[in-house]
Amino acid sequence: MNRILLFGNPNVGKSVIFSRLTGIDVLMSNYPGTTVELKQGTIKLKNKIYQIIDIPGTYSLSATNKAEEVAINILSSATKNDIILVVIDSTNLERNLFLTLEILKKKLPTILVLNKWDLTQIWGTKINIDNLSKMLDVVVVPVVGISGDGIKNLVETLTHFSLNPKISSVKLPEKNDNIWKFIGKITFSAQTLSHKHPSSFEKLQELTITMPYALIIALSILIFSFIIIRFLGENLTNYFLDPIFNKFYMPFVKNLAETFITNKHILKLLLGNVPEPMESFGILTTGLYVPFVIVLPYIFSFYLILSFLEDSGYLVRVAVVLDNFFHKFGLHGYASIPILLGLGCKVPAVLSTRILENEREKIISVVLILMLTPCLPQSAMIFSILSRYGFVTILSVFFILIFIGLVVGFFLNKILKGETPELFVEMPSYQLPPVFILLKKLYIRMKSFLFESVPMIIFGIFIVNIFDLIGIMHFITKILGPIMTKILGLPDEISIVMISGFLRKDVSIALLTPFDLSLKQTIISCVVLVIYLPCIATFFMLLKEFKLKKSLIIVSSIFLFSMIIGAMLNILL
Amino acid sequence: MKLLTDVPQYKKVIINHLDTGHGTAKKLESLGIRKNVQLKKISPLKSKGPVILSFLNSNCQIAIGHGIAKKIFVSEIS
Repeated sequence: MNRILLFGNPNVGKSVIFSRLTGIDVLMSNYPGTTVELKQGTIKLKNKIYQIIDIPGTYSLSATNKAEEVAINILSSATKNDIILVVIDSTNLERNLFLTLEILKKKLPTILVLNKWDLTQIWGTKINIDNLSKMLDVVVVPVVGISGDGIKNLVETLTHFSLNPKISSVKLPEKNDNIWKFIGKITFSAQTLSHKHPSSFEKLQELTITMPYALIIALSILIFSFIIIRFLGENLTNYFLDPIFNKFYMPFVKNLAETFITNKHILKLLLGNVPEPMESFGILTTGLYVPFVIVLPYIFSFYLILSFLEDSGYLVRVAVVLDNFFHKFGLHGYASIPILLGLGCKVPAVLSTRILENEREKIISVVLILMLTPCLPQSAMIFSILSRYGFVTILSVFFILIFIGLVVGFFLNKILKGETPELFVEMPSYQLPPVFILLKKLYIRMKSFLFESVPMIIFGIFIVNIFDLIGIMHFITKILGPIMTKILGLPDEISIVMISGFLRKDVSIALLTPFDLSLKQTIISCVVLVIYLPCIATFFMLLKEFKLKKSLIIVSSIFLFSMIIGAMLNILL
Repeated sequence: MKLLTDVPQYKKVIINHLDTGHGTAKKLESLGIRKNVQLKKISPLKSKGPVILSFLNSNCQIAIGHGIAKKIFVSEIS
């Protein structure tokens, strides 16, 4: 199949255009490096189907990280049957032309797409499309990816172009210095900039990167976000979803199951032991109560806030503000983005470490992703089971985790050889997040939780029931139990919780409810269950990124460390 | 000629020389930071964190680590 390849600098809006052309939902954000792997879709042009590929952004054709490597490899595989769409940020023509010229040198059929066309007026930039098109000998199409303006024209141009593909015959200078002279000539002829005085809004923006205001703003946003996430999450559970589940769903499903099923083992598997949805451990009770009533509201509220921060352009400023602090752990500030994503789910967080330059930096950030905080479903469960002990207890669990994570990061920086790379990052302009993108992202993330995680939660609960039924639970408890009791001060049966936690981290915390643990035991088990092992989905992502040997070293070191921490907490608390 | 890190906030500068390795220079170049480019420094003089720069000929802002900024020689322009 012939291909349409979307190239361009990071954060120029390739994913938005990809989504507009294919109708496929992909995550798009206002920071460089949102897309780190290839995304594929199709488009039909004049009865011929083309494969469209959204490619991670790159500033040049010499890779500095794994995401850029992906982009460069695919360009070298391109042939004259493919169509290259070079997406350009219209407000930043000069810099974007550097990559454009490097791509034009490859002599492939190319179209130039000027995205963010609407912003040129706001920023006082005028681009003469005819001049640009003549000087580069390429077809140029202006679009506004976010609103969809110009997309129809782009499809028409693509259709026409697919019948008469054209390779630019522009003569490009060989030497680097001359390339910039050539770019200068193009911008001189095709672009006029009007002088603009900085507005008070821009002055305000600068406060978000100027110490000490930046730190105060960042802390306020963090606390404010936390309050909103908790408020929305908790209230949606307590006043909306829990009553629906208990008053309507539970009696309905109980009647239905008891009417049609007589086998008591199957009934127990479906409905569990006790009437409380959280403690019964039936597939249709706890199996649905955990994901839909407890975790889903937090997924909704967390990703609502995260998407807002991503699209406003603020996340990159946080990375800049945290740069100095992150240097203490051998990372630069941009590593804060994968770590922040890890507050939601570790799987995309591990994948997004591809934006980091070297292996050392990737290892340290992955360890921090795995150790610093629980994933969101696990956090939601910790909130839920610890709420009876009060807010301070919840905070102390998170404080212990962050403290341990930071100490480990600090020592890893000392132990692992190598230098900390410096930060280079383009700062996207601030914007009010487009509602359509915000809602789309929320939908993608909630859908991915429901379709990928819910089956795993149900499977986890199914396995626990089957183990119980055939006696494996007893066997595991007998073998691992003494370690739990002696080292961690926890009941024998926690060993089964540890095993289920490898399937789903939220299920492991839910499994603690029937044990009637003391406060100390609950804190120790929460801390250990967060750190000890990644869930199976994260483990596979680690394998993909680090291969078997390194993944096993990372996972087993963290496991050993978690046992030491558990033992220390058992002595200290 | 002075180091980029020694330039006061909001001063406009032109880049004279990059005293970095080849790889870093290439990366800076692809981001548009190269000899003879005019920039405005946005971050304050005393900041030990990344240096934030705004391009005079576009609406782009870039943050570069303090260590790299210490290797960029510039002249102030009015």
